[in-house]
Amino acid sequence: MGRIVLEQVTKSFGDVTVIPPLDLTIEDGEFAVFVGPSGCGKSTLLRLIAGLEDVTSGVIRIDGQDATTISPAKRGLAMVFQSYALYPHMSVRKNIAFPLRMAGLDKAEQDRRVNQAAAVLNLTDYLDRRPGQLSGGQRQRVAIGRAIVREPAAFLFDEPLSNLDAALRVGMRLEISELHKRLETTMIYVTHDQVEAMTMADKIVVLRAGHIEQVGSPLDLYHAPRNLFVAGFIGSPKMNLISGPEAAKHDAHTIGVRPEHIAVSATDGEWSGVVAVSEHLGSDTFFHVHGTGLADTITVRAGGEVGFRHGDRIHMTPRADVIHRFDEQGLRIA
Amino acid sequence: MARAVTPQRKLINTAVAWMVGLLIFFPILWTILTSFKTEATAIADPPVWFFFDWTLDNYRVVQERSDYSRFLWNSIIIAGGSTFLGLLIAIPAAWSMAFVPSKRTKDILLWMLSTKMLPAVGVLYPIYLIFIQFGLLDTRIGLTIVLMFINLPIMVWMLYTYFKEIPGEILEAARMDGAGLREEILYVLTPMAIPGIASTVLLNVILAWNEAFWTLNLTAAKAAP
Repeated sequence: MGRIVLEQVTKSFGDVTVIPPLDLTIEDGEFAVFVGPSGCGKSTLLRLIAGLEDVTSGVIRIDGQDATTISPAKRGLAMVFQSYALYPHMSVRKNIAFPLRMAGLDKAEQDRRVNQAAAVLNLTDYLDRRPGQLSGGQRQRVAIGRAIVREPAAFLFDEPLSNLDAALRVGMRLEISELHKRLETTMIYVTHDQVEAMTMADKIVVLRAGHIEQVGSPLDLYHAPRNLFVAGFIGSPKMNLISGPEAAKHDAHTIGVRPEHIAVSATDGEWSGVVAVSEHLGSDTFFHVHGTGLADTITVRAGGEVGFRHGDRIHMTPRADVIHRFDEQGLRIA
Repeated sequence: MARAVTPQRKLINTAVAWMVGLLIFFPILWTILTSFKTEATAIADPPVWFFFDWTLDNYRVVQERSDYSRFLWNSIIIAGGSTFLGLLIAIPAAWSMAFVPSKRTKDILLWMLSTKMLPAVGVLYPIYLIFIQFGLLDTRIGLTIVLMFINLPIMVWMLYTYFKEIPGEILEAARMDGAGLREEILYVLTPMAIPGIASTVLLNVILAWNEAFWTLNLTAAKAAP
């Protein structure tokens, strides 16, 4: 069980308030992702839950129990760090067994659980090596192994994939998602990468300057961003945000149109501009269009291979049913 | 590519290295050789090298005149003991300064070091009186404690700089894995800091072994190293 509730939690370092009063509930078995730009307080929030930082005020409950002043060792949570934080002087086997040794389990039970975790994570052949002899991906697996053997109430991941190369990152992302499906344990995952957030999360928590901007499922956030910040942060490429007369036509201060919701044509459309850069991915083509009079750049995503090139005039039509409208305060107009 | 070294070059280098080595080692070698000579052979001119009547007489005389082996044993106990006691205090102190620093940590470190600038004789009188009060004069335990305190600032400083190099996340990982403070220091920090602890121990043993001021003033026949 791992239901985590934060009630009016705050954190200040000296005079600097990193987390203003914040309420959040993470249900048992949920995969929650904290996402936001760097310095938004997402890692601090995770460390507060872990107990590695003390809250300035407020209450943290784990499974209904007040855990605010409990030491990290006794909260029953496991954490995977960005730097892996493996013990360099211990073999992989001893690294994974360390939490079990601390819990005072007997040797046979330790071995059984270590072997089981190693089998799950494809580490069986590396058990007698030192962390220094492993690749980045293998080290990350050891760190995950060390977390899963103790069967924690919840897993905390602090940007675990940011030290891996792009291909490995996609692979590990899938592995962690599969692990969550199999273990059905609460996971809290911190990242600045909105693609990781969208692909892995049951629930995304978007943070900015310690404030929760929006909480919801990935598609909730995609379809109905609560404000301009979330609108600009979720989705890749970014949503086009247009102010001025074009927005006024829709009775809004700003309108948002996702690149994938714009149809392109060589001959006619509502908007027109000149292609500055076209990025051909094969499956999709991205156009960055200048000179539309709407915004500096309008980004368009066209399916498949579309043959506009640098300097070509392009005509664009946004899909009217999926235009997001925002008021002067940047809040969504329903 | 590695530098190419011709066989002749290698030969010359090796010969020169041996020559320099022997030259530096010569005074020690000469002392060792002389210790096995009688007084007459020791001052013989021209000097004799290896072919003389080897004798252990000098060692016997030293031992008989002053019970040398007891002084040696005192040295070992005092140097080893002060180092061990120092580690018990310095490791936790350096841990807290390196991993949970406060605003004043740097000041405390400098203040500790500043005590080393005080001439030892300046505190001789009070310490001597304390030793009389507690009956510690001419005891091994008394000298061990004094030498431990004298070298403690250096031990804390050295360990502090070594501990600073260890990433804090690893200790946090240990905490998350259920380690208490004792386990964290014993199973994670200390093994990772072994090279640093080893050089601290070595330096401290040498300093304590060679210490003369307190040794001469606080001990006499019984506990003198």
